[in-house]
Amino acid sequence: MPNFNIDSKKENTFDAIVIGSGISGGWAAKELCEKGLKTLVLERGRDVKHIVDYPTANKHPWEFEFGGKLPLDKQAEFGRRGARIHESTAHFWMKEGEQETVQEKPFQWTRGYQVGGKSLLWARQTQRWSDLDFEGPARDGYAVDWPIRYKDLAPWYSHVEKFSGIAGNYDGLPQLPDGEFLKPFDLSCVERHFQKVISENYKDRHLIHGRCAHVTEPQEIHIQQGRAKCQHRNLCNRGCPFGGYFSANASTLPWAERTGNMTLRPHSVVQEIIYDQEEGKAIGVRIIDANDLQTYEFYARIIFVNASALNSNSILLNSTSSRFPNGLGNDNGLLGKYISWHNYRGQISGRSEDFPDKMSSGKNPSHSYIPRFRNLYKQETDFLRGYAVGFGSSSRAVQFSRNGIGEELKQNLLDRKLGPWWVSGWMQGEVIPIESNHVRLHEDLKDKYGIPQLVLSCDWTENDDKMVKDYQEQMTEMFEKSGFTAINARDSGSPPGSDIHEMGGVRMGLDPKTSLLNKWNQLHHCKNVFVTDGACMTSTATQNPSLTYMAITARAANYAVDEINKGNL
Amino acid sequence: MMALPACSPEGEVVSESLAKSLPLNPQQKLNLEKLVDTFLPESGTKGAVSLNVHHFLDKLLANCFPEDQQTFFVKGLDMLENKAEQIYASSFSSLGTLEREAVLGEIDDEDFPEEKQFFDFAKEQTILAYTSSEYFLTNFTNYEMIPGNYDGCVDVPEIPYKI
Repeated sequence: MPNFNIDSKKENTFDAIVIGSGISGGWAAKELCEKGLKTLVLERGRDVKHIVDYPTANKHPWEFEFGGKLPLDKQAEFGRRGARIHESTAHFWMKEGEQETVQEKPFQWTRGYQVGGKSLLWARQTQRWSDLDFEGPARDGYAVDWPIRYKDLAPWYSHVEKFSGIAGNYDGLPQLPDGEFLKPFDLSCVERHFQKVISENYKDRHLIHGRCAHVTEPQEIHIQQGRAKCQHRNLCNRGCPFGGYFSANASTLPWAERTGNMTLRPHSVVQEIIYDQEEGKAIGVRIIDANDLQTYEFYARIIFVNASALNSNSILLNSTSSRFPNGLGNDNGLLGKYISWHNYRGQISGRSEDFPDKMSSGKNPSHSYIPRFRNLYKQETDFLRGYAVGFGSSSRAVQFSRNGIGEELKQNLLDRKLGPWWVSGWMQGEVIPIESNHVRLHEDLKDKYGIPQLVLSCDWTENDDKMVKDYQEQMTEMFEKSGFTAINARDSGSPPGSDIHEMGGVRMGLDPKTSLLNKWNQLHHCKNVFVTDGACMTSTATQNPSLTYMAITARAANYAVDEINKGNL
Repeated sequence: MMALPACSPEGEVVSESLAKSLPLNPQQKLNLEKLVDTFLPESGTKGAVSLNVHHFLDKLLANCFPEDQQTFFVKGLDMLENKAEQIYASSFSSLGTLEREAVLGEIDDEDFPEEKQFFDFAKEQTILAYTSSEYFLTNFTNYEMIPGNYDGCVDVPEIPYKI
């Protein structure tokens, strides 16, 4: 007679479990599966298969039943935001009530709960960090020192860049190391002009081509993934049927699946990581199936936590045991603390009346970029660190009048003229992690799965306010020097999280007394658990973070396999 | 199961659609048609009626706008009727182009906020529907689903071109 318990345990046992299937979880899955580990990938949302689950990808504007607006009953599913969500991307938004939180202070938490996570929705900008970033906390006396430096990550940046496909220009800037680049997207006449004005007026400031995860020249490795050249449709957030940009769905997950080693389980809401006191390590993961609301357990030798920064915090906080009453690996009480993000409050817009006899043709899925120039080599301002700037001026405005009615109005609509070039800049500031900016589990309130609600308690500091002011002043000056008009620099006042770059809470560090993870992203006190998404970030720098999550994940996954092979895990 | 056809501007209006319609009486229905026709009439180029903008707005309002806005819109169609009766002692739908334009001119007036609000809303929605139609985008703009490239700085052509 078969022993059902043993059989079911065997069936639910893998070499590795990856929690989350987004940009970092996809990389963990790819690396672990390629190295031969039977890997279970748990995703709390539904499955999204590349191409077949992009229902709106090829729709023309006139093919949306209500011009893109959602019917009222669909709007209601998304709560207050419903009226603003376009039909073309509605299927990738989290529905109201899926995961309630307590906002002790305003926080805009954007979640992408489906296979592929936010890799379907991201802005696709990818810049490497430099040692000016890794050494920031130690130099300027905040957070704790990073346990790694650029040289530790550089080969892994190359590793993920070659596979993902990164368009960029070789700029030779110490603050933004060059990578493995495919040809960059073109700069517009105005961007070239702005670039020239900046280099003539400022020694340390540069406008460069945006570096982004688009395949502009498919290489063999991209063709093997079934991905083609970016077609400049600028409909990325509907899912790209060409695989023109990097997403887990188009790239890492199908690659992992092809090894035969991946088991993908959607609708799996992770409740906690199971710690075994006798073995002195984590032995598996307990989930709630979102469809039948039953609890299931899965077991593995190693666990990668890639649930997205705040959710990874939540899972670890909820993974309590007699050994870890305050959350897995949380002996020092710092789990959930030092949450940080990027400051996107500074905005500027204007226009350029120059180049009236020029225009752009086609579409630019990217934009240009000014790497950080404040406090690079020494402290120069009354605030710590600095900001990078995204800059866009891809095309000229199309102008037509809406005046009149009847034949006059019709002629006005048909009489389209090229207007000035729009220019806009947005700030990407480093936010200093501080202990009081934290998340924690609510003592009583639970979400619909019975998991404690996450309390979000994060706020701006004076350093952020000063940086926004400096951004407005410096950008206005640069815009004026470039002859732009109608300049409008402002502070959006948006709440933390609006940047969708939340980080920290499970930070890396050298000392177990002041950090949660070691230099290989292992929990100091539970070495077979690796956290490699935004939660691991000790500081935020100014770069768009996804590329660094990818590199950190690939590095940690390969280390984990090496350790298993050595018998250490 | 049969696939339901979309009801977008100029799409065939098919009765199988599950989409709701506004509870319009025949006169309100006719006024809606004449309203969009007055904003964007047929001439050498297609107007709002031949692009089915009136059917589209009916569906859009009924399915995507809150009930108070739907009611406001239907009341606006009645208001057009009352104005026409006041000025011309005739139904809005029986009036000629110039008279209908004059009625709309009457309600396009800041001194009558509610009427002005209806005028602005109806005009904007008509423009949106017209300018997002296949006919407009493919004939009068450089709309391309797949541009395939981007050149950031090219000469503005001397020959006529679409933008």
